[in-house]
Amino acid sequence: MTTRTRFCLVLALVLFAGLAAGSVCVGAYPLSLGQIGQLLLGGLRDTMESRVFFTLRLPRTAMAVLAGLALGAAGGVYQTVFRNPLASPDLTGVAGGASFGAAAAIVLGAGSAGQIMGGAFACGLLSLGAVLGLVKAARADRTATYVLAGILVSALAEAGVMLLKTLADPEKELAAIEYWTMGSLAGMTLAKLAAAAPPVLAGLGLVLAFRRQAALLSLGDESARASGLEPGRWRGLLLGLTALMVAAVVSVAGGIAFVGLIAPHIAYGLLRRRGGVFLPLCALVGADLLLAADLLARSAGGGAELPLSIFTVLFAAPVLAGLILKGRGNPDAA
Amino acid sequence: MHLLKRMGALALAAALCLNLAACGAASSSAASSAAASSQAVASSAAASEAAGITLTDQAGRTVTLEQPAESIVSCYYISTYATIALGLKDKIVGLENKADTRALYALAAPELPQLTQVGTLKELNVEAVAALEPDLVIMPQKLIDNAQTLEDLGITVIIVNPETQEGLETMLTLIGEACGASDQAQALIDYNHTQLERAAEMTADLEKPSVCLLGNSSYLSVAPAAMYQNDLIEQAGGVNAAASIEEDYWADVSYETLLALAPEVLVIPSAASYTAEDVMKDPQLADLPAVQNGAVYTMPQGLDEWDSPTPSGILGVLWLTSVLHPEAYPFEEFTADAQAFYQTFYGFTPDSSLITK
Repeated sequence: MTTRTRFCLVLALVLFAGLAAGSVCVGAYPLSLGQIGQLLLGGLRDTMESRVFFTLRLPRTAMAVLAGLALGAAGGVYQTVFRNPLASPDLTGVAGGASFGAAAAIVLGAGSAGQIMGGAFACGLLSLGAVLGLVKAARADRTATYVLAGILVSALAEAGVMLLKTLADPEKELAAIEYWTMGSLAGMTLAKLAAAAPPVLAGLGLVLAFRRQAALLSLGDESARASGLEPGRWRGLLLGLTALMVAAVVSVAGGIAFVGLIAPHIAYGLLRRRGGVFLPLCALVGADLLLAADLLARSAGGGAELPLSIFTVLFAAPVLAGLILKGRGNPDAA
Repeated sequence: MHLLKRMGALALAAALCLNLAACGAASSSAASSAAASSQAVASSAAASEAAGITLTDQAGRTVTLEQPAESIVSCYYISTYATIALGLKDKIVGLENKADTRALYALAAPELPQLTQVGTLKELNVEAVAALEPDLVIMPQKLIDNAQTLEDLGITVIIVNPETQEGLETMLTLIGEACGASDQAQALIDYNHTQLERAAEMTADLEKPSVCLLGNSSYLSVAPAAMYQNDLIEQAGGVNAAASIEEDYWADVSYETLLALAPEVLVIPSAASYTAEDVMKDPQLADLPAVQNGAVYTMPQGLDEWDSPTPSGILGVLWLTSVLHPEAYPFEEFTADAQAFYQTFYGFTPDSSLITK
């Protein structure tokens, strides 16, 4: 491990520790640092403070971490496997499709987290399949084809969400869908965390375990075959795993924009390569971004909860602007 | 190849713009409502101009009618309710969409949902309005962009903005004057004032419980100080537990915030998509004082919208007064008052089984 790699990991981990500590300490319910210390040491049992801390505050922090890890890693996988820096759950239609699936489940009256997650997962996978199908039909494995196909599928999903909004009861479901499509962890509970954690953790664990295969795929199909990998199968497996993670996140936290796009760019900017610890670093950066966004979402609204995407888009803007300016005059730059 | 890369960059920029626009558009659905409440003064010039009526509507526009309107299109359920309450339902020729879902029409004017439905708060079907050739179109502030289009077609429009008690009363006065029903409008306004004073007297010396009025879409949304519902709570002898939240529309909150607000009473509006049982059974809310007291009340469903500034909104104040202070104002007494109200202003007596808490 080079000094640079070590520095990047330590930086991301220090930020992570700071933000996670902040996330556990800041909230609407008054809990002092002393009380939190007591709670963590097993004190204050069977009190309101204990229930708020263990069933609301900690699960929210944990879900912010999981969602950030999942979106960051998913973005890293997309950019590696698609061999282009514009691929992300937002632009490849998976997030849009998952949002549509979950919104459809809400409007059709499915209440349970499992049903909403099922809708999000099925539509997320369908969207990914549609994008890959379009790219295959175009016989053009190029950046612009993926991006255009992704925009097409995302736009269709967006149109579907608009249709659902029109059908939705304006006084009951509409506000919920609108708020929900912008992402929020305000309603997180221990039960929701328990529902979302297994698919996210399973997907994340496998994706990180297969990071060598992902890196091999990034060298092209011929190189992958030469190394003994069946590219189609591995691409399908990796993309399926990321779709599982993204769908699970979307089903409990709603649509969270751009974390999957910028986390890998930040990780790449730090590491300057897409091998080695690139994917774990993408995941960590994603977690940092989401913890920061959630801290702002719960504290910047004067008592009201703000949608997460307001902040993730604000974080993304300077990163993407920097990339555009960096690529000035260089047609091969992203 | 360069062209393709550029296309890629352009496509990314387009996606960014779309996303940003989507975020911006969805965030402030009702920020306009406060600004829209222009202090309209309805002034009749009937005395000076024989048979002519000049009004200033709630958007500050001057509107002239040669004579009281005989055919009306109402584009908002609150203004349609007002026309019924003012005895004008026979003059309605068209109304807002989804009228068939409103219980009050079925009870007070079952013929209205059969009429042409002309649009929603988001979208007005201007051609459908024009085809009805009404003497007067009553539309809410949110549809103001369509007013000039209709005026250009020679159709008279008044803009109303019933977002507050004051706005409601101004709207009643305006509709009354435009349609020759000023006496009925004044009677309804007087009833409102009398009952508000009565509620204030009944609760003057009583302890004021803290109340959260929950949103329709989720019980993780509450009415902050800037909303009509805040006044409703205060007029009923309560304190809004969510008054400190700096929002001007339904504020989304976390479980933690709701627990920190610690309301003693929770009120669920009539159109809520969840039930009191859902709230009572949510384990995250088990420590909430309102849940522990069993004080989670739902406004009557299948009758009217008492949590909004409708012509019957005063019944929301009286209902909550009775819920919060049953010793001062028994629920049976409220039920009788509500039945009398509907008989006087809407021409029917609701069954007492519809008046619940």
